[in-house]
Amino acid sequence: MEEGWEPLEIGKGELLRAGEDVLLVAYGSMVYPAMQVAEILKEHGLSAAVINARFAKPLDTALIFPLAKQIGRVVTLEEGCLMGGFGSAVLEALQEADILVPVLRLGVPDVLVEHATPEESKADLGLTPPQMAKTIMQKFGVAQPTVVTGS
Amino acid sequence: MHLSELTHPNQLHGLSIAQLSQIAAQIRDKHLETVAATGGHLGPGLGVVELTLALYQTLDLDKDRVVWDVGHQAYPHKMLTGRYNNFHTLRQKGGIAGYLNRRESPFDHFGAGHASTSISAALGMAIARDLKGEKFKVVAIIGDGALTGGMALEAINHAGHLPHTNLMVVLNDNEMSISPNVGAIPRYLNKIRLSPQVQFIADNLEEQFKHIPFLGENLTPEMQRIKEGMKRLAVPKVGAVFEELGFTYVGPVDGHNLQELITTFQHAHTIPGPVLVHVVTVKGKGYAIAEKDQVGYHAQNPFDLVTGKAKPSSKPKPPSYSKVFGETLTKLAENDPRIVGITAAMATGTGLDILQKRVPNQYIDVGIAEQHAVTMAAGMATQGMRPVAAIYSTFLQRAYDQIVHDVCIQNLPVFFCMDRAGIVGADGPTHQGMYDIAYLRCLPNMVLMAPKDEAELQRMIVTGINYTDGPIALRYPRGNGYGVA
Repeated sequence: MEEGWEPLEIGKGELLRAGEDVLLVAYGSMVYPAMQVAEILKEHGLSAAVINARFAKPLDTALIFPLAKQIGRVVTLEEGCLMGGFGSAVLEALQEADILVPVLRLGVPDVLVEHATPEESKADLGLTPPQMAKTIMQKFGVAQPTVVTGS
Repeated sequence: MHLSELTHPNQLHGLSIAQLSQIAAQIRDKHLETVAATGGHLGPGLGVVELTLALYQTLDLDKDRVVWDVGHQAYPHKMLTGRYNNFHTLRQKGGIAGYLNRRESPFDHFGAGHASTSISAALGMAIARDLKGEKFKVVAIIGDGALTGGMALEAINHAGHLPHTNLMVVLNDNEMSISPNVGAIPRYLNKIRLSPQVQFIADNLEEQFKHIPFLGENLTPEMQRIKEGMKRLAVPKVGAVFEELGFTYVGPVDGHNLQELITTFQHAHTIPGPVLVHVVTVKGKGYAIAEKDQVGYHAQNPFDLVTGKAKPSSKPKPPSYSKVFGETLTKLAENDPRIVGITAAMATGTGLDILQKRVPNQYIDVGIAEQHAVTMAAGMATQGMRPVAAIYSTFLQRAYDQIVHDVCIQNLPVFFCMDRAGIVGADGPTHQGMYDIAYLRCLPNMVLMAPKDEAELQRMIVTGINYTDGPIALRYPRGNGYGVA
């Protein structure tokens, strides 16, 4: 890693993938899985935009708000507790700006996560990309196939 | 009797030293075999095999209460409390947990995954016992590493003021936390270990106290009492500090000599009030390779028992986030003398060992003392330094008021780097890095960021170092990146 020593602008995320049907806003370790989710959704005819938020605070509202308004369906993805977490930050910001679009928050619910491999825990919590893709399709009432496969 | 026939620890009662030694050997075999196959904590458990057996021979675990600090030294306890036959499932989904867990066994009287909590919990049990008019023994077993955590000292300070509350604290002294211990208390313990048993405290006692900076000020009135208290002349120099804190000190005892341990525990149970039994153990005892490399064998991935080498994984992996963090911070520190990396006894885990090797002057290990680490970082920030507190997400929880009161309220530029953020795996609920976004997001002045991969991690470290408007926190997961360079 000899390159990549430029600092990032505080509070600036990046749009990794454009899309029209659903906006995925992912934080940290959930960004790559969000890209996989977008691929799976594409196979099912859903076009997903993906934002790498980079900052949970301050949020890049200049990037998120217009896309949320335009697309009208938002999904947040984080590897952490949902209560008070990244998805909450996005919800609060949207609510304060009166952008009242449906939001699905994916992350760890209000339960203890017991010892297991991280992969096993994620599968239990419905946080693998195929599981998340399925949840998204269910939430937004999109015609869903019986089996959702990974990419 | 074979270990596999033990379903209740009270079955140890009445066993001869020879029988206990056999069981000790069986515990070690199972311990090594299991950790070699599944990974897990190795050194801590191997060091307390005799301690556990001897202690349990003197306790009635249907009534008496035992609190193991951290819990990863409690594998022998698990094998003696009905979990031998399932022990091969250690740290696997649905299997035996790597730490103590009240939901797993009625003999796990108090759960723990973080250090330094045992004496407080045990004291609470002892006070409850007395309030309810019940009678049973309460024992806390704490390592010398965990004794560098302030909470343990707070509990000792409190227990010492309760001369009528019976409480036994067993100090499992192996001179290590995960890395060699730092600071004055371990140095003092070291001195204690080397002292002849019958050396009297008369000489330069005041000097001894001055070497303990945390305690020094509070002890001045106590010093008078020592000079008056001739009875303490019979106490080896060793226990002077604990005695002055109100404990009866017993030891040091050879932690691998069953007979000596049993006799000592039996005696110590008869002493009223708070008692400290100082047991000297060797981490990794009985597995020569682990005895030699006590840092490396604190906890292990699966390995080959004969060579001690980790089993090679099938394909080369991209660098871990910790390694990228260590390398990046070290490179930046080499060019910026204001950068100081701070760890709370996790040099290898955080990757800060790289900084320690290459820029030792800009590296600080404070011991298991996250609260102190954070406020010390805040102090450094007031002087224009760039303190980087490299603390796992789960352990940073321990320094919450320091983050609020010392860092955020004063808007000081401390850079928090939280490794193991998110789901951590085999360590379970005590170690999940689940809450940091929520607990930091609500604090004024705090900036929060998280990278999508290891290349972005590097840029975020640069970002955090450059950002001097206030506190900033970076979270990244356990394990390897994506191979993007």
